[in-house]
Amino acid sequence: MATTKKDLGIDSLLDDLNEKFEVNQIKNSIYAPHPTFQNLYKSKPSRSDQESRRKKALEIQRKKRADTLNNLRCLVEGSWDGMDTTEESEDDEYKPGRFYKNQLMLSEWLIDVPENFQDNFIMVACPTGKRVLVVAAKGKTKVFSKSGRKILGDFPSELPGGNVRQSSVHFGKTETVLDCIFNEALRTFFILDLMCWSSHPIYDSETEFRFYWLKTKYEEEGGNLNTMSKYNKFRFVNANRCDCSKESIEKLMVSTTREESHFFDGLLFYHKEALYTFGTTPLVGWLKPFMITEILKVTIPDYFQPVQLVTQSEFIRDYQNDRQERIEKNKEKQKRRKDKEHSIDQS
Amino acid sequence: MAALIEQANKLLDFNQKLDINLLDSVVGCMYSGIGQEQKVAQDVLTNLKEHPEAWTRVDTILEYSTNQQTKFYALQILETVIKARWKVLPRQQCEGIKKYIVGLIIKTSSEVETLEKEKVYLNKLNIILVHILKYEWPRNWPSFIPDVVGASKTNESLCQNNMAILKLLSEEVFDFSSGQMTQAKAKHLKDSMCSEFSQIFTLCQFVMDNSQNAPLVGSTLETLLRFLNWIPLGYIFETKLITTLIYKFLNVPMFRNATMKCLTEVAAIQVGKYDEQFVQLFTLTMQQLKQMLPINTNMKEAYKNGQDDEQKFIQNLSLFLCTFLKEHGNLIEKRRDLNDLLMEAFKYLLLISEVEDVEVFKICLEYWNSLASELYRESPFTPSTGLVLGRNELPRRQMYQSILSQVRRVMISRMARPEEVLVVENEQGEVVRQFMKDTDSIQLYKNMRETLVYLTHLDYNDTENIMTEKLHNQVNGTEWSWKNLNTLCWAIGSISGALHEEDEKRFLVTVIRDLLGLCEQKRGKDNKAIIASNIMYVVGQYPRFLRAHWRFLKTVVNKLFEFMHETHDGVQDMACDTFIKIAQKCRRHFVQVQVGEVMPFIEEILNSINTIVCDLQPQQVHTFYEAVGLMISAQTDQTTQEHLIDKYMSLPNHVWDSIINQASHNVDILRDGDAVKQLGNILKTNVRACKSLGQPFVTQLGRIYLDMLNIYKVMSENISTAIMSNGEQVTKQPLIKNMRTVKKEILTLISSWVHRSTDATMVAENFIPPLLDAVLLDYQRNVPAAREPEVLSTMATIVHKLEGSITKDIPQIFDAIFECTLEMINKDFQEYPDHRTNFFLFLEVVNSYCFEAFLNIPPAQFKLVLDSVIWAVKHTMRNVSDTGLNILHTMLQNISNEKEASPSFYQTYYTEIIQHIFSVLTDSSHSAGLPHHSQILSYMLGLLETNKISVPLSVDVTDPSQNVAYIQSFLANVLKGAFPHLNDMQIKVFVEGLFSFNQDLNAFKEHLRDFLVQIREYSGEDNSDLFLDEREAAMRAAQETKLKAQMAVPGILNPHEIPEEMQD
Repeated sequence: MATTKKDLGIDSLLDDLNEKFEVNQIKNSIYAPHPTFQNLYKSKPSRSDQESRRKKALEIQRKKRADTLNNLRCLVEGSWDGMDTTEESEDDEYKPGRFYKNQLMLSEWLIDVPENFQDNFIMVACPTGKRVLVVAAKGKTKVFSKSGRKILGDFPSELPGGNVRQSSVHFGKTETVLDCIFNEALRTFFILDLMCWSSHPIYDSETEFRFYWLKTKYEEEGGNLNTMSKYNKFRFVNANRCDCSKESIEKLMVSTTREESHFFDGLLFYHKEALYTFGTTPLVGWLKPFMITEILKVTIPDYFQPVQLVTQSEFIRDYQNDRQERIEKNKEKQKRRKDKEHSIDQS
Repeated sequence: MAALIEQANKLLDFNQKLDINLLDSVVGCMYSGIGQEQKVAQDVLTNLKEHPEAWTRVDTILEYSTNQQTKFYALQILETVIKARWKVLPRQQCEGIKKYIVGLIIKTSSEVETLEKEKVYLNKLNIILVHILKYEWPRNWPSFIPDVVGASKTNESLCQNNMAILKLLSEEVFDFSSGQMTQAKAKHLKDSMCSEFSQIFTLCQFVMDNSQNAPLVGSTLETLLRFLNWIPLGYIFETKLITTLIYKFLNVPMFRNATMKCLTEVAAIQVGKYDEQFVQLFTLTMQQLKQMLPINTNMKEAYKNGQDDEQKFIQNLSLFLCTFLKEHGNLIEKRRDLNDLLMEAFKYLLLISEVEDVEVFKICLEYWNSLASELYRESPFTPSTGLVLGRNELPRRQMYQSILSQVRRVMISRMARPEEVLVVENEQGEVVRQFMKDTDSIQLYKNMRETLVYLTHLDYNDTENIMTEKLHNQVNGTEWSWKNLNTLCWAIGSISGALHEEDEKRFLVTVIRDLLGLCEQKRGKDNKAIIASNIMYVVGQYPRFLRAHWRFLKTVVNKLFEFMHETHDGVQDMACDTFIKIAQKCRRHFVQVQVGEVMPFIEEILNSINTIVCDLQPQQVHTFYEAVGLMISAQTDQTTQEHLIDKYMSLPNHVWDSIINQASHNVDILRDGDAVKQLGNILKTNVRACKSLGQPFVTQLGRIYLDMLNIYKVMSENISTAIMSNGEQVTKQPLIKNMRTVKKEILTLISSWVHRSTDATMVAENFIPPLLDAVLLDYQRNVPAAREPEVLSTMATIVHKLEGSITKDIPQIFDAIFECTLEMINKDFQEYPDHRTNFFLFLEVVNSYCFEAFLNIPPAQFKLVLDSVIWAVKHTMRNVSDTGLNILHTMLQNISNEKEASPSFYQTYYTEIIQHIFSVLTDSSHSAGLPHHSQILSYMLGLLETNKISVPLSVDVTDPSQNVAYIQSFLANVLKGAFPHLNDMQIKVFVEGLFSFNQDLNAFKEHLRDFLVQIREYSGEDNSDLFLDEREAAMRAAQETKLKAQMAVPGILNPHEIPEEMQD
């Protein structure tokens, strides 16, 4: 009476476990295995709704902008005729948390290749480290984790508003807010995105503009950010970016050396029109390097493949040994069970 | 005021008549005055109290004083003289005091008004009388009982007070005597009381049958209650006592509590006969009960809304039922005609089991536990639910079937919280989570779990059904609440291992599926987080299932990793806690290649370790690392394991390397707050990894070892410099605290690894020399405030583990740490408690494992060592004195093996040691050390007798054979000097007895104890502490038997308490 481990019970339980066991209702969480890459179970492959969700998200953003523009027109013309007076329905725009919590725009796994991928998306290379919010203001630079917890003590940086010397120049009224990856070992902040530079907020600008602004401002005013000094305790470096054509992606991957690949976590794909919103959004996708080969059909250097410590032959040998062991054990178990049943029958 | 002081001193002049008014005002001053005035008053009164003739004034004071407090003061004087000096007072004066007290009591208690008004005063007088009785009765006061009984018949209020006196006497003789007097005396008193009891009993009966005086009846019942646990059984069972109690008093609100307690006492009696009477006790009580408290009363509500008195009654009722059923339930079971009544009794108990009061519940729980375990043990082996056992074979189970089902419901609905986590701030100012081990609440959980496991074995199906039903009620909302869900999941988690594996699997699949459905159904993060935590808890409790289903295990672990990013309160903690639980129990499965996988899962984890932990707080990261370390420890192939360890530690090593690198360019980085904190965290990660890996951690340790020791030195210098510039208060600053944390963690890491290492020689040759260089000199040179006590404990661990391999280094270690630490702790008994404890632990291990080292150090240093050991023995802090005594004992044993060194040792130190032992032995604050002291003394005297001492012990002795006599007279002199009130005969008997009994350790201890009792009687001190060790031993023995019994029952022990079996 050996039990097969393929009962329907366990299979459907696994499905439930994957779909229902959650606290947050985030789709395609990057902290779960990528749906395409887990070989766990063969559930019915649900067609990904990621593309439709992207479209919806963009639509909401566009409508908001249209409303803002409409409002501007009304102001200019002095008339509100023809304006929609119904209250806006609750959109699913994620609100930022209080006390520094949930202030970052976070990604989902990139499940399918979006429409017009090459034209509409920008790729950002993401190093290993902790995702943080950097706020430079009033002469101090502060760093916060996703959950709002303060990391590191206050320190000086050459971001506008980030150290006392700078602050006095601008009469203490300049602020900068960044979305970064902090790598402890390298003592470096890799800038992913810019929300405000020198008191100029750009949350409501499209990604393409924000990246452009970041690049420009960094080059113009951020010369001292790349070196550690008395007024710049850590380095601030712009993360590598490129457009999403196959050639550009391959070029970026090849230009990353083997050593650098150890610090390479993955790739973010931003929709050019996406505004800076809070929480996870389908407009930003995430992939590990080895995944882009399969999903984007791009070739990458082999040192990006995950390291396997067990070689092929060892694997086969181990597998066979284990299998043998398991078979023996099962036999024994069955024998024991038969003996027990037998003895009970007799009593 | 000055006038008062002058005047007050007049009170101390016993040639003058006592000025009562003056005394009253001084007493008043002491109680209500302030400052200098009050202090003076207090001094005067204390002096007065201690004056040997003070007691002669007591009668005057009691007679004439108008101040109640003065009277109490006088009574204190009287009490003291009785307790301390009764035996030395002349006979005549004793008689006088006796008569006086008796007269005073009679006077005060004869009138109902005074009885009531002077209640407290009278009670005090009663207590004093009982103190006298302990000395005087029965020998010098044979008529006491008849006198009391006779007097009681004349006057009701007098009778009432006499009952109180008898109650006190009964308690003193039977309940409290075990610590107060010798066995022989206690027995004598008990026998006397039994033989005179008939008069007392007649009196009680008389009161119960005839008196209309409610307070008197109440007092009598209270007294009877004390009697019931010792009086000859005939009085209880061969009279109409039981029926009187039940019919006359049980249903009277004023008496019902006392009566119920009396009936409980009777029910608790274990005796082979009187079956009929026990049955009658049950039937009559039940009948009466049904009239007082209808069987369907909602006990829970009644308790909640009831008065104090009513609540007590419910509690007493539960105690009665539980006691009776436990001791005599079988008598009722046998009688078919009483079956209904029996079921009604159980009905009561079930209802009371729902009362929301922990104490009441515990009473019921104890009974359910004993019932369930009894029924289980009738037939412990049942097959899985597939086969149906003939019910005829287990009639008792059949009879109790429906009751047990309801008990199951109670247990499941009330399951206690299994773990308690306290969030505290530790010395380094860090907020940490501490898992509590032994609270009341956890004990309650253990008992409930045990009970539920037995109940499960008695009927697997029913248990499953109830749990499944309650789970459905969570899903359909009828019982949904966070509290209910938690309770249910704790209950489900508690029976892990009790069901047969196949059934358990089926059951668990259903449970998880329902819980997942619930998670999907409920909206809002709060709800989902609670449900998710419960799922994690249940899953973590069933490692057997996890081990059998890899895909499930893998999915769960991946989900845990997801949850490690969840910002909602508590989810990350739960995920990490569950992860380490699973890692402990399923570790092998993570390092093997599972069916359907291409590599062991550990590699997948290590590949993404960065991503998994990036949102965890440092503490949680440490737990995570410990868990992964456990998995790696299961890899048996050494090469593979080394590669795994390499990858496992790469993240912290990167940061470590970068800091070290920077420090080599500019050492100031090591004064930067963030960098120091980072170092602290990295070291803590290493400590946890070491804990899990054990010996294989050596590759990682080797990698960071020398740099680590350098960091140690630099931190230490920084701290010293800071203290020297800014004083000791700088140690409270965060930066300095963090630096000390770094030092401590380094020491913890090293000692933790040495403890787990397996190659002592390798460790001694490679790791110890640089450690000693870095740490020892630093310790010695530092200011006391900056010395880490962990240096001492690390040295102790090293000595303990490496034993002989480290002996050659002991002198170096001693030079560095011994004297400078001794300096810190020899000024008093309290300062530097951690250094103190660790210092002696260090000495202990050196003594036990490297004793030769003691023979190699200079004599002056050895003397210091011995002095410090004696110093330890003198501490009242039990852990320090125990360690000291252990060292002393082992040292004596070790020395006796050294033919060359022992003669000079004995000559120099023998008498000194024995004298010190006697001094702590006779010091009442060291009474807990009696067993230890007696062991050492008996050993030392044994040395003498068996001629192990081949040299004269003193200059006065010419020949070793005279040693025995010399020591005897030496001891006699010492004792005479210390206790002048003992006569020569007593001392002689005692000293000789020491030599007679020293072969039999128990008898020797008794002999010492008797001597101490004799000393104490003269100073009026309490003796019960002399019997502490017996009680502790009895408790330990009981615990061991219980644990043995538990281990035999499947599922009784929490899967996480069972030592590693790792069967598949």
